[in-house]
Amino acid sequence: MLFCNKCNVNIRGSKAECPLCGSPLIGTPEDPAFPVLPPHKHTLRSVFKVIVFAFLVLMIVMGTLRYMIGPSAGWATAVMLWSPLGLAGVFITMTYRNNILKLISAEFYSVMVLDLLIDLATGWYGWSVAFVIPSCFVALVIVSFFVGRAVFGSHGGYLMYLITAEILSFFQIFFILADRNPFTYIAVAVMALMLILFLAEMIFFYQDFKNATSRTLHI
Amino acid sequence: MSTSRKKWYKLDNAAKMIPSTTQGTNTRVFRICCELNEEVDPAVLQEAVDTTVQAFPYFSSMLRKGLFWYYLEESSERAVVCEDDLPACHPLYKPGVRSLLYRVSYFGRRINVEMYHALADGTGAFVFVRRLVTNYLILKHPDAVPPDYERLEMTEEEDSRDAFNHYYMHGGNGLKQLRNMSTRWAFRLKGPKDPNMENHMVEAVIDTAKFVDLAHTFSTTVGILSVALFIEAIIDGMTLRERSRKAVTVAVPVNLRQYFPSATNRNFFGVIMISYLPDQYTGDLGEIIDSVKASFEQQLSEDMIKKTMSSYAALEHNVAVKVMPLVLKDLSVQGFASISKMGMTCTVSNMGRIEMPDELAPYISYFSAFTTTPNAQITIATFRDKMTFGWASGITTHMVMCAFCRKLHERGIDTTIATNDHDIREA
Repeated sequence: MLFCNKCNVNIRGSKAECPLCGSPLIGTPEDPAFPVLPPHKHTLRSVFKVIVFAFLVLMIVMGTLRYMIGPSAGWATAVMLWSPLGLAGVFITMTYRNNILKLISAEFYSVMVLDLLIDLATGWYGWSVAFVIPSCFVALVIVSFFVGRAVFGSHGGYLMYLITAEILSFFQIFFILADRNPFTYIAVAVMALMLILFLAEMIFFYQDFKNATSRTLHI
Repeated sequence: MSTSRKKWYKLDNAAKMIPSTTQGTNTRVFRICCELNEEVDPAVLQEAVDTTVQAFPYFSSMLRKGLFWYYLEESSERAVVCEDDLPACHPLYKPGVRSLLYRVSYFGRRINVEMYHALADGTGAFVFVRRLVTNYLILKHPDAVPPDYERLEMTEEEDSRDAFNHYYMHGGNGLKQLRNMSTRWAFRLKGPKDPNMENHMVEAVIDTAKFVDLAHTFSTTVGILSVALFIEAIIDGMTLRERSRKAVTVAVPVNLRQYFPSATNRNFFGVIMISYLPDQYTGDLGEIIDSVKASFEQQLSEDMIKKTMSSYAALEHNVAVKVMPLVLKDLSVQGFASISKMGMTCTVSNMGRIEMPDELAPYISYFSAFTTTPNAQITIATFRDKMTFGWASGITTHMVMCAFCRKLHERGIDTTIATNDHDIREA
């Protein structure tokens, strides 16, 4: 057993110095209590730092070019508006990398929200609510269904994701009522489709829905 | 099994806050070790785990996120025993990853059980570990066990009841609990943090009889003496200026089963705060003991315990808290946890005496335990003639344990330590 003369403690294992005071040890090493391990590296954090730095550099460079070149550098403005979408995508991927359905849902919702904001920032032409958001809802439901079936097999594992998308799609009605949607047919058709899917799930998979909501929505 | 048919459990009151505060070195994982007097047989240990978990179906759960609260969902995953090859108290809960909330490993003569705190508290986990070790030793030494020995009757029956909810009576002030969390700032332990956010463990083993004798010389209990000794060790590392400006505040978890009968293996504990002002310290341990004893008596009265427990549960039953989305709850809890961290120096948790059947005691050397926290925690466990102090912290230096061990030596108690420090080999 190793021994530290300063602390007057016996020390297990094979140590180069006293873990308490750092003094040299005397004695013979004995069986350790903990294994010797290689250093554990956190590579994901480093990758994220590089991505954030690259994004900030891009924003600064584009902003500088826009200032120097003037209004004709609209492409620089467009890059500045759209690059947060890329950063959000990376952030969402890293956050939800362990849950494929959550990742898919978060990516689609972030696309909808950011497109809405870009549409608003560029004078509101309504393309986000007329085309992008309805398409995103349909794509989200289709992708969630097939990925959910592949990952979980049974409905219970992915039903809440489908129902959440279907319910949120009804919010499109507010843009229609506020006369902010220049082409309402796609949004209305999508809402009708979502309503049909929702009713089908309630009628044919009510027990799965009830079980899923009892655990997910318990307060 | 279909997800919709899996059993699920609401988290108990204490567990509800745990996933929100899991970050960095505070993985909210605790480790219970059993050092045997022989090398561990992995195949036998695996068989023992498979047998033991059948009596604890609640432990085979994974943590899921709901819209308002986290919850546990039954898992069909099997715990596979492996040699200890991860940093101690490595994270068990990773958001999005559907995995068990406990792991069993071995190293040399040690059996390690690590558990995520949302699953159980130390008392509940020890029930599991005792049964696991019992089953292991029975399988390993069938001849050494009396022929009429019944495995199932040796330990308490597993109970997954939420005892907080069971004993909750409306009337507690949940906001009072929040206000109490933001008490005056306490002295914070300082030192270089591990760059990889790993926990550093120090295990100190001493002779139980000598420590009990020391407690008797001060006319106090082992628990109070332990807290006082650690306060003394912390003061040793404070400058005079720090001693005059900040209190040393030790959080002491209290097993509520002593006050509210329950066989639950889930979390059922409260926390009392023991504060000592170092500016009044004259070098006499007896002064610290008297102060700690007075705090214990004042806070461990049945009335105070009932009020504290009701305030915990009242927060959970507050309508505004109930309907707050989980994402906001997480942020709020993290915020309050950061504030409460400032009012605490460290935590001292006493698991008490661990009882094992006499027939199996000769095969066991001792038990030890480690718990991760935002600052540092010492977990005390006693088995027969060996008492262990398990220190866990994200700080790489151990000034407090150094002072603690030296002061024990001054009082005639020798210590054997083991650490996972300086054990990182170059890649």
